[in-house]
Amino acid sequence: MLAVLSLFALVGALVATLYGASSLMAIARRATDVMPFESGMLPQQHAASRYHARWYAITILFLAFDMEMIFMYPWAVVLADMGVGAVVEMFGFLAVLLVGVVYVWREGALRWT
Amino acid sequence: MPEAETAAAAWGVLPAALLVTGVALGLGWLVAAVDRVVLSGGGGAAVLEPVRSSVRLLTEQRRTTLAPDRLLWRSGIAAVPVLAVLSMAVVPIGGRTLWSSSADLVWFNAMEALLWAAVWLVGWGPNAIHALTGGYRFLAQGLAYELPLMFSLITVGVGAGSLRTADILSAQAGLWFVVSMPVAFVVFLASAAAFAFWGPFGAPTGADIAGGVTSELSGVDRLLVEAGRVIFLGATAAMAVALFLGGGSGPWLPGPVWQLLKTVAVVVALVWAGRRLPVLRPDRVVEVAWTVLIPVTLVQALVVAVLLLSGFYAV
Amino acid sequence: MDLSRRLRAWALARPRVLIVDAPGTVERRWAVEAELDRRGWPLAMSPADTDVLLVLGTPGPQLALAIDVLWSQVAQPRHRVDLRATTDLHHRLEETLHALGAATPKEHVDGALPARAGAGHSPEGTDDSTHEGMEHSRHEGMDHSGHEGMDRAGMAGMDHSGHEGMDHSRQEGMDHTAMGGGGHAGHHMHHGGEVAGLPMAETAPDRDGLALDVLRVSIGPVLPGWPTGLLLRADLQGDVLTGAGLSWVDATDDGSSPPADVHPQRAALDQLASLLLVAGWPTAARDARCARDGLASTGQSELATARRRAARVARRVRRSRALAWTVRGAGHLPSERGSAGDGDVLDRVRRWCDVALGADGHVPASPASLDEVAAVLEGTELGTARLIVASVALDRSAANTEPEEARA
Repeated sequence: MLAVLSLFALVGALVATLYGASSLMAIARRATDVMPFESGMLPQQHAASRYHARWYAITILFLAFDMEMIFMYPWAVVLADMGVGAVVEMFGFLAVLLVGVVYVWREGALRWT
Repeated sequence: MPEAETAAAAWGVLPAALLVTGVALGLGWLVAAVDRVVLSGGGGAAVLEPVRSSVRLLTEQRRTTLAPDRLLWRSGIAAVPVLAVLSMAVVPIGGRTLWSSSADLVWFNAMEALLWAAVWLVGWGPNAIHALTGGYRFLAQGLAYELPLMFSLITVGVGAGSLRTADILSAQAGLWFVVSMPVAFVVFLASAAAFAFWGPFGAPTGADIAGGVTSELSGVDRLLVEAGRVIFLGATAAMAVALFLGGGSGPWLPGPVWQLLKTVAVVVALVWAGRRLPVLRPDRVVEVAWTVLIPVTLVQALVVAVLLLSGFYAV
Repeated sequence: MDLSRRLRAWALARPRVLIVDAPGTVERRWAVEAELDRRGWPLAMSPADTDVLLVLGTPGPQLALAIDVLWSQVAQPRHRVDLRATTDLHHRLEETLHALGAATPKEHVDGALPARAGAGHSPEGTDDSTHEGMEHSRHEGMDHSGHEGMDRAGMAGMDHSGHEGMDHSRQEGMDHTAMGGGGHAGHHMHHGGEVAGLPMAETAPDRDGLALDVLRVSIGPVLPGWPTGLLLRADLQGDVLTGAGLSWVDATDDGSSPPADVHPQRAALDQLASLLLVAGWPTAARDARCARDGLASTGQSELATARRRAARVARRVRRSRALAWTVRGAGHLPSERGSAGDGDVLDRVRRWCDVALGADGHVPASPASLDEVAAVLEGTELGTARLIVASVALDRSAANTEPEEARA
């Protein structure tokens, strides 16, 4: 853990050094203050809005699988000891989840444009 | 065999951490140089271009936009390279990883997953439509690549019976994993391109949205994000060598040389193949990922599990 | 000091260039792009990515305003080149390198803050007032940056736009609350939903009838891989265009561009180059540009090489399954249906490839009008919309359009 923390400290220092180097080397130390790029026009509204992510249904499906992965990492380690039973159980569970995928796919939720 | 000895234990914490950082920068340079050569259509002089671009960006002025979310923007920018280097903690260098735990693969996976937040923040921060669109594209793309990537990592874990990089390396003493897990190998490399939002998975920084998440970045900010991308690609190539190509194993030459040669080969192959394709748009990739890639990687995992139980990976 | 200057000169030896081509400068743009490719100067994606802003020809008044806005968004060191003719191109580019290397910081002289004041002024409704806003801002921006540029710490406050913003918001405030001002909650606001001189997004029903934020944005007039001067006024929900109106800037400024009599094969390769850029395929775009530029040469052997190159890139694009998979089914233009295939983006790409091959002279016709294209853009996602626009040959003179004011 100490090793990771020192790596974190080191790369943090590296980023800080780069910012320092930039402020020394950059032609103008102060950042230029500009309007957001909108292909030559001025923005009419703030872009930061409630963005309509139309793939939200997939995120639910994703979460179901992602939770499942938490079980799968330790499962991979103990598989050799547990034997066939573990394989059947895990892939049976995955098959159930895949039924969900098939359902979502048939409902057309995997395509949103 | 000094099985679980880490680089930190062998060489001291600070030298090892310095070495990892140096190797990370080297890998980033390698990816950027190869990419530049492929993009400009040859010309060995292109190997200097990453250095030149870095200096150019260091001397360039930074920008802020109207009403940015400054804190989140800057933290996202810094997080991209930091996560990339941190993922290197479990990538073996000369046969040793900086850090070794019973969940090395999970660590690698976690660093890449945190990138979701970092890239989205880089897109959200500047309050600009192109950057925002790019950030959300990355999330949509994440929904496509993340699970196949995790399944391919787990496949490796199943084959080695461990999530520790060192164990995975020694499990390949007889036979490289790429032989029995070709699908996982390819998916792992494709996912690398996807989470580094590069090449065919470059939609978050696509030219159609003026550079997407990077469209409002100049100076050192842009340098950090670009560096993070290429370091992540390089780290994943090095990780692929360790997970699938036997790490430093090979005849005649010493291990580190083999590892370097294999890593360079993987980088060149990845960049060359990636630049032969147009951007695959996330809205179409997601469907293929769920209906093709996830089932295929699951079958791969099943095959490996059965092989394991039949004693194929007896070490 | 000398060292840092030399370092900068070295670092900027391959600057990134944003090209703005005024109407009627097609061939000049090709010459410039050929020279940039030869020197290995990359094309910039956005002003943040730009070192050199290269203006070709004489832009009309509205394009000139857009160029000013872009220029204000470029970080230093930067250099602007106004290129009327390409005869002294080499010399001008060398000059550019010199100027970039020798650049000294100009803190607030030329537009650190050009547009801030105008932003608050430009209402979200009528289009022409935006131009006013820009005009306005150009003048105001100067004196603002004169005394404000230096000591402005951050965006907070933005009170110098207050006097504009205030009466503006008094008129607009009603609408804002009526249209669901609750959406603005959580942000620090001035009166009537303005933050830092700009209103927040409005809400409108989406295709499922939910009230969601709708953002008014401009795509164009200057973007990489985009026909310069084309302006797409779009309503965006997420990345989907719920409304689209296309027009040319400086449309009334006629007589500027007689339809240029260009080499059809080169024009097709140019169209492919920008389409491939938009499609995120930079290596193929580079090959298309290279072939296009080679076809201009006079030597027989160079011409033969260029033809081979053109054939190679056209075949590669035509056969690419990845490209077909990614663009298929988008942008069916009614006027093209039945002529050859479905008339979607893929069909048009393949026809451009045929022309680029030099095999058949059947150039895809320009669509009947910009409105037809705009109608197809509605309901598509931003990336698809870009591909559709890049796949059609939009002719400034032929496809006339409604006046800008008609759309609000």
